[in-house]
Amino acid sequence: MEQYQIKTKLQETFIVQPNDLGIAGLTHIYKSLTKLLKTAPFIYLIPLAFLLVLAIYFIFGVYLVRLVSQLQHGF
Amino acid sequence: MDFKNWLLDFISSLVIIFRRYLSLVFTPYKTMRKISLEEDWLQVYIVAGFITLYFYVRSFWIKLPFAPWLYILLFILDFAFTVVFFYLIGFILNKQTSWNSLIFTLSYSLYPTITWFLANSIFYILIPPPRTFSLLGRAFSIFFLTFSLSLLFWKIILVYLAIRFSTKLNFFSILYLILLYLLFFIPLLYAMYLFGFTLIPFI
Repeated sequence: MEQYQIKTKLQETFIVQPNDLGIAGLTHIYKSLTKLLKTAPFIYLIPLAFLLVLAIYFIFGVYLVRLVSQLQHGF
Repeated sequence: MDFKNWLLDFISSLVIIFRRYLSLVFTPYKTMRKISLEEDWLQVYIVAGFITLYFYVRSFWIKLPFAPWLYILLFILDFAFTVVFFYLIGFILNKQTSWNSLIFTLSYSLYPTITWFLANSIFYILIPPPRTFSLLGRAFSIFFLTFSLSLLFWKIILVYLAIRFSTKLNFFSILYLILLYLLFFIPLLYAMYLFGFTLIPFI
């Protein structure tokens, strides 16, 4: 039973081949970035989203408030 | 006895669905990989059931120009178009593309969409729009957009993983596939907006 579970897990791990982007440096960046996003991505996503929204707020100002009003009507 | 079995299957599928919601938040990669090997169709039906329920409940909250079943039909067509598109192009590029896997993974990738729509419905009741330019209005706008953008990022990750595990393609092929999909999908969304089916583009 235990062996079956380990085998299943290993099979799962090998269902896709590792990504190769063609250029070693690019593949390295890709792997470093995706490593962060594979577990608990929200630790990075929420601060990133917050910083982006702040940047949008400083660039577009009140348009951001109008955008939210539009989005709130959109459900 | 049959009903008992069915009930047990239903409850277990329901538990898996709720557990996977959390798993997709904390370990999206591993969870999506597991989902791509899933064979329990009841899970897909339950997710579809939640969406149908949402459309009906929403029609009680706000006055909509069309009957709820029309939105459900549009949603099903939209989902079917997405699955068929990724299957056909994915199959041309890689014969290992799995139809079942695409349906399961893309169904689960609807979680951020469902979360956003549900949260937005609650915000609509608690803090109805339009937002004002006061300090509180601006603060809420920043919070709301941060929340929405985080969910959009989550959605992008889940869709990417769904296509990756279902088609077994590499990063660039998936990127081109998604760009090609958007090329078809954006005009479709715009048409839906023009006909009054949706006020915002949703994926």
